[in-house]
Amino acid sequence: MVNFFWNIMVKKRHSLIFLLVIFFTQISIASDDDVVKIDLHIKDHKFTPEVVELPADKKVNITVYNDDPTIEEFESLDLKREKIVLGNSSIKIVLAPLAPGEYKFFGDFHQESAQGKIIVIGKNEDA
Amino acid sequence: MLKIAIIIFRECLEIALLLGVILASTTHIKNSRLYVITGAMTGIVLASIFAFFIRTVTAVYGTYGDAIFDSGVILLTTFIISWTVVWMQGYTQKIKTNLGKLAEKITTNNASKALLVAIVAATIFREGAEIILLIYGVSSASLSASEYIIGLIIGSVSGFIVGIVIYTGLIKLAGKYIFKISTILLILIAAGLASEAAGILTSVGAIEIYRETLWDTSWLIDNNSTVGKLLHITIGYDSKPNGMQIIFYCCSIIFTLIMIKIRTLLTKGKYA
Repeated sequence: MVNFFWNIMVKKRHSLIFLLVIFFTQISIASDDDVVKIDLHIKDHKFTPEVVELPADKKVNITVYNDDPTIEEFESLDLKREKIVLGNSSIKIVLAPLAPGEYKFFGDFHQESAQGKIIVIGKNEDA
Repeated sequence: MLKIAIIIFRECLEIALLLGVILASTTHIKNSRLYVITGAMTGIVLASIFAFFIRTVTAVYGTYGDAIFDSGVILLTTFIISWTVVWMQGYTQKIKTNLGKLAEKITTNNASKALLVAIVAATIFREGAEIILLIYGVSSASLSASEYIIGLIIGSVSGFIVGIVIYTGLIKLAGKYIFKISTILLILIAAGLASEAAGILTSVGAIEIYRETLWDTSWLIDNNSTVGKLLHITIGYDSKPNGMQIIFYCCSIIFTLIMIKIRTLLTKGKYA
């Protein structure tokens, strides 16, 4: 048994590294395919776009850019997330695949204007 | 001005509520105020460091990692609160057995002192970093500073007053039931935090099972309404909870109750 591992770890190190490389490239390729990237901008305490449509069953990477000089907090009770966005900077939010439906989000410090929502469309409804 | 006051007030509310309950339930402990103040100072320092850190390296600071960090801090707070509750049960036993010398304040061991400091520090840290960033953001923006400072003062003072009201209210109204009431409150606060952590973990994808929303009561009490916010802090109300949140919530309560049972049995043995 020990010999077996010794063989793999030392003598066949190159093949092991090769396999690992393949393994990780597979993962990164697979995850790249399943991720939807979305940009949200905050300007004058308003989101653009205010309504975002997303497919179901895909991971989502949201980048929130705060183009205002004032601080904001990106918050969504439906997504169960909140995160501070400093003035003139950006944050990223990673979301696991969402079920079809509506998810509201807002800027916690300017709720009267900073409102938006994500609409997740199911595969069946698409056709 | 009013807007910033409301925001600061909202951020202070959670601190005020938890500290009010903690202070009310530890009045019998010698020097408890001192430990609370130490905890508050530690929390403020940690929050400042954290706020500074997040401000300078915000671009490097990850996406997935900080969601995990957030939920880690929340779960740690849950754990510390539960631990405090369990420890409190032991010392009600002490009070009962020391009835003769009730006037004398109870001295506690170092672990409990550290616990008291930790719970306050954790509470302040969680909300404090946000307040500090908010103040920083305000001071860097080209906006009328004096209005913001007045708003800040109004917000924090009214938050402070709510804390005092909760504290005196608990002391006056609860009377001899103060331990029971604060125990129940703290257990529910801890469970609510556990559920919040579960919400983040399922949202970011760290937990991939039981992610489906179980029910929706937002038509009755919306999460973002004042009542919803208050219920969220006190009993962990969420209008659209998922399965994992319910599991975390129940596990937190069950775990604390079991620990209380064990603790009571142990102290009973010691003082009988």
